[in-house]
Amino acid sequence: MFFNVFKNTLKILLRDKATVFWTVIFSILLAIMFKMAFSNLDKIDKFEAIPIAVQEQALEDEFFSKYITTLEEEEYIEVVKLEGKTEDERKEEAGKLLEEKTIVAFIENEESIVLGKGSNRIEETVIKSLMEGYIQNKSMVMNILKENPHTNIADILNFETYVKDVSNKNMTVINTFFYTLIGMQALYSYIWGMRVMYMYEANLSTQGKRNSISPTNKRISILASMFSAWALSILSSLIGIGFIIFILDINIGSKVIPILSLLLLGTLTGVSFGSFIAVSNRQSVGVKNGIGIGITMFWSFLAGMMASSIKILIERNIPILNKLNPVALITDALYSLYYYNTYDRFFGNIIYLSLVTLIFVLGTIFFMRGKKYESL
Amino acid sequence: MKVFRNYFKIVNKHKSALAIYFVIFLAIVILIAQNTKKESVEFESYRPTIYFKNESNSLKAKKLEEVLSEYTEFSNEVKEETADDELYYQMISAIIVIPKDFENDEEVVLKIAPNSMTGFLVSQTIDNYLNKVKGYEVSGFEEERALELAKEDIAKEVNMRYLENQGKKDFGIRSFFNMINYTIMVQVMLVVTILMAVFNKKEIANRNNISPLSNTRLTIELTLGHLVVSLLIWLSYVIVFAVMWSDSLGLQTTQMMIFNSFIFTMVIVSLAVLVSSVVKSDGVIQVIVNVLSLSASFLSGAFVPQELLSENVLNISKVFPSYYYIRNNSLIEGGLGDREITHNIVIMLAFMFLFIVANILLKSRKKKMVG
Repeated sequence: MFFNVFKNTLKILLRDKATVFWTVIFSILLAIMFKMAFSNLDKIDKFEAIPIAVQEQALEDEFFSKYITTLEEEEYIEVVKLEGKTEDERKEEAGKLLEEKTIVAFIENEESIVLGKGSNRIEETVIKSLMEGYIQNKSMVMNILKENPHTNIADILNFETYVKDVSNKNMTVINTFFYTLIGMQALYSYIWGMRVMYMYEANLSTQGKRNSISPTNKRISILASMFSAWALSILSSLIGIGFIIFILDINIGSKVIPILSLLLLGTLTGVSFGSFIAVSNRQSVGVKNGIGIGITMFWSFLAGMMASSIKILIERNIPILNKLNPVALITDALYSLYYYNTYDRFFGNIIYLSLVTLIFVLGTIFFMRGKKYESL
Repeated sequence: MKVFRNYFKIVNKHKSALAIYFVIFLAIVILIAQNTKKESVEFESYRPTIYFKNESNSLKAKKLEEVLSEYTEFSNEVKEETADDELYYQMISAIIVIPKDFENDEEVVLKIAPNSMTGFLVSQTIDNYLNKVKGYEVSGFEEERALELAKEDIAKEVNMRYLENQGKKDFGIRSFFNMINYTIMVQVMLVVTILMAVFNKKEIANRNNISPLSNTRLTIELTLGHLVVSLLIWLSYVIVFAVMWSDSLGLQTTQMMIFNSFIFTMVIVSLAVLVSSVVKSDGVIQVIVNVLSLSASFLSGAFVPQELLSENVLNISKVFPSYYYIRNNSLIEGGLGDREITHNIVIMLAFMFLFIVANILLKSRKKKMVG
């Protein structure tokens, strides 16, 4: 009987095209859009040689010219050559290049830099800091030579680094948008869970009335139907995550077993959330669907799907919210698998997610318990 | 005006769905307002936000801390255990720890996003200062003096000025108007399609057909309803804007952006009416509203600025009115001189015209079919 109910529920659920859209196709569409819109996001802060122009007179100073050449050789800057013949012509040309944003800065001389409007303030600050290096070195050399005229300048200008860089190389904030999307899709399984409950609750649908008077073991048939809802959710999540990894080429790490177990639990959370929405109130299907979509969207928003910084702002101010939000928990679990080598944080997320699921399951049982009807 | 009054009763029933979008949007707007700093006419250096910890008691470490606090922003909100996450999510630019044995090793431990500009600024500040200190020390200067002189050296600045004194703009304003592309689309389309789904329902449509109220009157009252609700939605955002950026309301560019958003709202109303006359099923309408508003917003640059989108994506997005609306926001920010602003408004109006004509054609075809 278990298998029969399982199979039939699968057929019924798959017939509902709108649900298939929301649980599978919607997430895939969002993933495609994320990929198209966010692919350049990581480039904002990436260091690339900054295009500048330099007034020719300034380069007549041999040391300054050498300084600029070194910066160019080390790919901090890219000097755009000005074609103008006179000083004024070159100035005008540089002005145009600034307006067109072809160059970020025009170096008039070692102490004066012209900037265009609306360019990147970080790039401008980098140029400022690089150019100041020259006058600051000059100032240091002068100070030293004043007291020790015989100092070897090459010695004092032999710069080295005092920084021990221990940065983690796996850093792409774009991934977090996809983690949230995976979390959102898992929670969208609520639609399957809700549909199943409608099939069994006599106060919700005609089908429910029929089922509640049928001479079958209700416990077994509900369990079988829930299993088929869960199986479909797992399948749709696998399609979603597969699309993200193999078609969109997003790296979510290689820890397959933890990722799969997270998906199993995440979809179970979704299904139990759906059954809880279904039995906890007597609103129409439309309203319940709205509640489900609304809450899932809100969770996804808090987990950083629209602006990744939201999750961090919540962690700073109301950290408990991140522990109760299932989408944030799934996002964080995927992030911790990708970024950290240990599993402590991942297990922490799994525990909280299990607790949230348990609350939904217990809530559902509470609302479903001991229902008996004298007439239907 | 029975239809018109009824319209608002139905809208009232769906207020919670509309409110969710408004709340989410409001949260994002407050975030934008906090994060975008108004930039002045004078150049101001960018100060990267960092997590800083000094474990060393040496004088050099203390001086380095002083220097870093001048050129970067120490975040008080970041804790040691969350610093890594903050860095990953780009909330801070670097994690700097001066270790206990800094005096002997002379090494500062640094974590940044690999190859990042802001990370470079932080490491450059450290190296620049400590190299100068070393320069003085190898030339026989005492440590204390070397530390002081190096600090004076790195305080020497070059003069930075903008071309023809053109200052920068407040980027928050543009982000605000770009973002409402999404919320206005969702909310207006949601209201119009929900309403039309009610009126298009066979039983209700048939009843309305035989009622003494003429068809023209019904259409006029419904259209009036769409317009009033859409204007109220638009107005709610203008009010939010006025509260958040009250000092920029007087600017011509701001007023132009408000006008631009008004035209866009009207285009969306006509699109929504068209969608509702093509699609009847409630479920399918939800799908179309979400897919249309999300794809138009993502691909046209409502969430990520158009400058960061690839050319292919931008070419695709030209099929949406949103592209022209958002493009205009960027152009208006740079001044009102550009003729493309008017062109884009004309294109948006052309979209509106197209949607209205398509709707009329569809309606007349349907009537013929009924006849």
